[in-house]
Amino acid sequence: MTAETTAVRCDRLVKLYWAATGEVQALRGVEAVFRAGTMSAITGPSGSGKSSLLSILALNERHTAGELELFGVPVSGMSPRGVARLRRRTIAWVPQRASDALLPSLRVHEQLDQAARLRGRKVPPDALERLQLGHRRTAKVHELSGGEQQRLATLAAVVSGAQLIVADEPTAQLDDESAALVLGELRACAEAGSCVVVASHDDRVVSVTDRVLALRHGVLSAEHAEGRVLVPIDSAGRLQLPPAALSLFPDDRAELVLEDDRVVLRRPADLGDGS
Amino acid sequence: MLLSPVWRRAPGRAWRRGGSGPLLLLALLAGTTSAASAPLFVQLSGDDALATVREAIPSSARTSDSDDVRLVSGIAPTQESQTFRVEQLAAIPGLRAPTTLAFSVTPEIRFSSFVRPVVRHDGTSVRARLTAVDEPAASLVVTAAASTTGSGVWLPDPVAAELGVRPGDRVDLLVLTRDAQRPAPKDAPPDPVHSVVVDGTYAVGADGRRPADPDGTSLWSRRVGGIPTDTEFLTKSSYLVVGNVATAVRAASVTMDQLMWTTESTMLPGLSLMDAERTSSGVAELRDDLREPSDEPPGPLRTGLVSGIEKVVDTAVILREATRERAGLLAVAGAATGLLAVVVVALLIGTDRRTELRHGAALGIGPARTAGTWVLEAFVPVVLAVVGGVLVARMTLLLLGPDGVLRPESVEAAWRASAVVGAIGLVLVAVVAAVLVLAADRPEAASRRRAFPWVALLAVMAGTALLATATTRSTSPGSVALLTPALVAFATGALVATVAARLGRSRRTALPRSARSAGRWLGRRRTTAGGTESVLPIAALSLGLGLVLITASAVIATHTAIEDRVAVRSGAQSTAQIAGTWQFVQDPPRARTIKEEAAGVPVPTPKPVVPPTGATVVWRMLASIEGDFGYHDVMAIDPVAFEPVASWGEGQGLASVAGLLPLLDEAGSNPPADTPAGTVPVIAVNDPSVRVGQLVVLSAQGWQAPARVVASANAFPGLGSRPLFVTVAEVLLPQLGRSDPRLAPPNDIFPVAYVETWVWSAGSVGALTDTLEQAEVPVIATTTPEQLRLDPALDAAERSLGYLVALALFVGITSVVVLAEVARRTARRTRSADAMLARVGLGRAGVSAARSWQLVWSVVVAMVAAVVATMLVAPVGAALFDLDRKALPEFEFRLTWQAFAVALGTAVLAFAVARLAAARGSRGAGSEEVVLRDG
Repeated sequence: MTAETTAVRCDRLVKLYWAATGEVQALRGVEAVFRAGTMSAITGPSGSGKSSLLSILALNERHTAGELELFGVPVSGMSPRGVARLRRRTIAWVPQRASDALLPSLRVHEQLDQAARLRGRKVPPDALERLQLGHRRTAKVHELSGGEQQRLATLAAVVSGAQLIVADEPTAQLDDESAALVLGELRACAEAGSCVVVASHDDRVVSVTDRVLALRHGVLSAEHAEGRVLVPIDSAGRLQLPPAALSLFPDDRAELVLEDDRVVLRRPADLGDGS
Repeated sequence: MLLSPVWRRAPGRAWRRGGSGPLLLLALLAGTTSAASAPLFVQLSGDDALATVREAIPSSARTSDSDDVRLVSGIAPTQESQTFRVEQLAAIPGLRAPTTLAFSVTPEIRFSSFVRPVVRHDGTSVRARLTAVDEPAASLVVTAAASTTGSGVWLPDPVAAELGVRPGDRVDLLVLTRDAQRPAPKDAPPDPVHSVVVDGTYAVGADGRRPADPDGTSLWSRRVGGIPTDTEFLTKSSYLVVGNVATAVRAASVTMDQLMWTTESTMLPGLSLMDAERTSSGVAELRDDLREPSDEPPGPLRTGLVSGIEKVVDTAVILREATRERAGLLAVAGAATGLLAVVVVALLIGTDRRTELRHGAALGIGPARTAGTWVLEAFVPVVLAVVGGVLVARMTLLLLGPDGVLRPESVEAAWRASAVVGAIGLVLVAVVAAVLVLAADRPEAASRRRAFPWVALLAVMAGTALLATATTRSTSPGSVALLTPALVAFATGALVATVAARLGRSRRTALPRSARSAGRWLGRRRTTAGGTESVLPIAALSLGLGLVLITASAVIATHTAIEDRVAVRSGAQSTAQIAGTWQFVQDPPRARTIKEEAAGVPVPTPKPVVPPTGATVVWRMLASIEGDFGYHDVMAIDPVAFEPVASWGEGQGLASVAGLLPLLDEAGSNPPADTPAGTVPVIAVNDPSVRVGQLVVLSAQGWQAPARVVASANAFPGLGSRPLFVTVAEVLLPQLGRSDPRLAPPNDIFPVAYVETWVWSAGSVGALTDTLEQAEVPVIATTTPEQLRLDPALDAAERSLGYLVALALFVGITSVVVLAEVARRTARRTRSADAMLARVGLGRAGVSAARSWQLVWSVVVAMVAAVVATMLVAPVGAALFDLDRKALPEFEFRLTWQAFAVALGTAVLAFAVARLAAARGSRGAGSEEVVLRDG
């Protein structure tokens, strides 16, 4: 798999939930591509749809509309069994609550052994040491601290050699040193060819990723990559202005001027002076 | 290592933190114990039934009705041809070593001639029969003995006194064939004489003739009718000249006396039914063998066998089979309930491990692998449950069951039954695990998906089961029907929990106004969350409490039904049939003869009869209704004296019937003005064809009487298989004319109407017969409730009561432990949330109050569901628990306060244990750590 291989393609992904108060639109047409060999961060305020998007990417949930392709395989029409099979073969999931990704009956070294075995791999001898868990080798899950559980869950995903690693706030309970170790592992996975997608508010995460996708109100509002901020335009031609720009258009109307190599948005002349 | 970690860790996981071991073990133990106890219980019940049947054999029973066996023959057992038969008898297992006895029967064999066996000394003769026993000195109460004995004879004290002989003297034995009135023909040889020494003398029994029994033996007293009669006074037993076998053979040979030899034995005491069946088979084989053609001449001296062993064993086998049927049903129901509990426990564990299952499935630990690891995890608990089931069953039965010794065959059957239930439990665990993984492995649906309506499905299944049970035509419950209570209790629990949660949710919008009320508010929010997670534990508890309540009600109803039915069949604590009440009075008036009747001699007035204290007289006869076919039993009573003497059982139905007696008495003493003369008032029992107020004509041989139905009832003490009319003796009996049973029978042989006269007493049968004997009134027959309890249906129902109680107890304990475990796990799971809530103002007391509220809610809802389930089951209670639905009075299954108290006690215990378990589950690390680790 090369760095240019598309691992995940989201095409107008929509996710609706039914809550007691009615229908909730968690994702409203997200369009994004995640390539193998890259590490992407998804940011956004609470309720922006981060967890929903991650859950769909990890195939824990199914999207309501749109199309999702994993390694060239369209997921939408797949049977539940097919989805489960695809998930088992290609995805590693690190949930926000790390203990959910650990098997309570196994000891620390067995967690890694089990995760690796299921994908026909072997655990590198120094794996536990890399994340400073060597001294906890024979500990049980409930004997680990929250931070240790988080490191172990990430390590289990790493040693499984999954093509797609989806991690939800993997550094939330970690100090700087541990966070650096965890991010280093994820980074190494990306460099080894996996596609790593991480949801986080943490600047430490953002700093090591190849790009950052910002979600707002269930749509992709911006993409930070290679020092630039890109605003995505969806297939219907829509784009989302950053919050700072919105104040320029108090009447929620903009005049669009097409020029040779750019598009200019300005406040309509008859409505005021802004541009 | 070959095995992956999940496989390696699986077997030990059952006993680790949050493991399934204790719960599975307990749930399955209910099933294995139930299954294992059935064969053990059946065997012990069979042995006990045999002991009961043997105890019920009256001492006066004939050999053909007793547990004795006698090989009877005219050939001495010392002869070669007979030795083989005796050995055959001795080889039958389960019999005491046979003893030999022989009596002279020459007078009976040569009944057309003058034959008189005598013993003679110095010209004095006494009628006495030669008798042989194995060891005379040990079989008699010796009053005097010679210095050396063995080849002589033993004389009864009265005979020795009359002959004037002492031990050591010689006497002559001979069979007289002539006397002064019957001289011998001229050339006839004299009757041969055998001179023999007197070894000793012995004491005689109460009748002055039969030998007295040495202490602890009954060789002579139990031979009622088995000792030959005096050749002159036929109503008296003969004196016996007793010698050992060799002496008797020699004497009989010389005197040409014919002895009837019996080689006899009896079943060993404390014999198991299984062994007794072998004994019975052996007796039957010997009997068949003797029926084969042989060289023996036909006639009364031909070798034959007399025994009641087959009859006794057959009766016990019938009782055992009825018990087997009942115990089998309960065992299946118990095992099924245990397995249902296993499924519930597996589901609860699955709920607890939902995240883990989901994660495992995502990793690739699919249904088969998960099922396999769960089987490995459950294996040790299952093995322990299989072993424990047999041990608990053995212990319970040895402590509470019928007395007896367990036999290897039944213990082996118990192991098999327990192992089968264990294997099924293992399969169920695997199936539940696989299904849960399949459910967890599916990504959440894109569109809104309704939850599987398992509560509604359960409700429909329970309703269908109730309907099927209510409409069944079977007269006894089947094992599937017995699952209905479990299904109804579980479904009702789920339904009530769902409804209660919904109602609770509708009232929970207001936020707590104070920290004090916050605990209750939080508890209510948690309990009314609904969903499988909160409904399933309540349904499981409801299953336990419901079964405790239903089983306790069934135990009470069954006990009441048994007592009522015994009361109906026996009528009173003891009854004795006598020839007539005229026997109570001096010079009783005699009924008219046919000639006197034709001559118009007036019917004498019977003398008033005063029955013994605490007793009443009941006359029974058959009569038919004019214009109808078939017979009714008619029972003529004194309503006032009858009420305190008769047995009224323990149920309300029979007790209310007692209230009809004053009505009968009133109608008898003050008949309505429009009633035709001579009309007898009757209570119609078990006859739906007549209605209250109807006038019918009763008729039987020799009499006819109009009868007015003053009341009707389903059952009445003394009710038999026919419909019964109960009437007032004072009104009916005078109308019987010469058949009036209060009059001494007429001295002609013209038949009179057949009326049985019974004396009913509230006292014991011994006291009643003693009283009647003192009054010189011979007793024809007696009945007691104990005899009637030997009815297979009643006996099986009575025996199964303990089984039902044990089952209820076990189910109750299981439900208590299940709730405790659920509470512990829930408390552990919510530790982090509780720690946080305690910090933000709720306080530890508030969190604790919330937990208590949750448990109180669960227990109360489960208890309500259990009561509802019992009320739903009540209408089909008879179909579920009555072994004989045709029997009267009807089975009264209802919720009683005693049963409610038992279930309430179980509920309180469940709460207390669960509260302790929850406290234990929430204990451990400090709140800081808990939030970090679990949160």
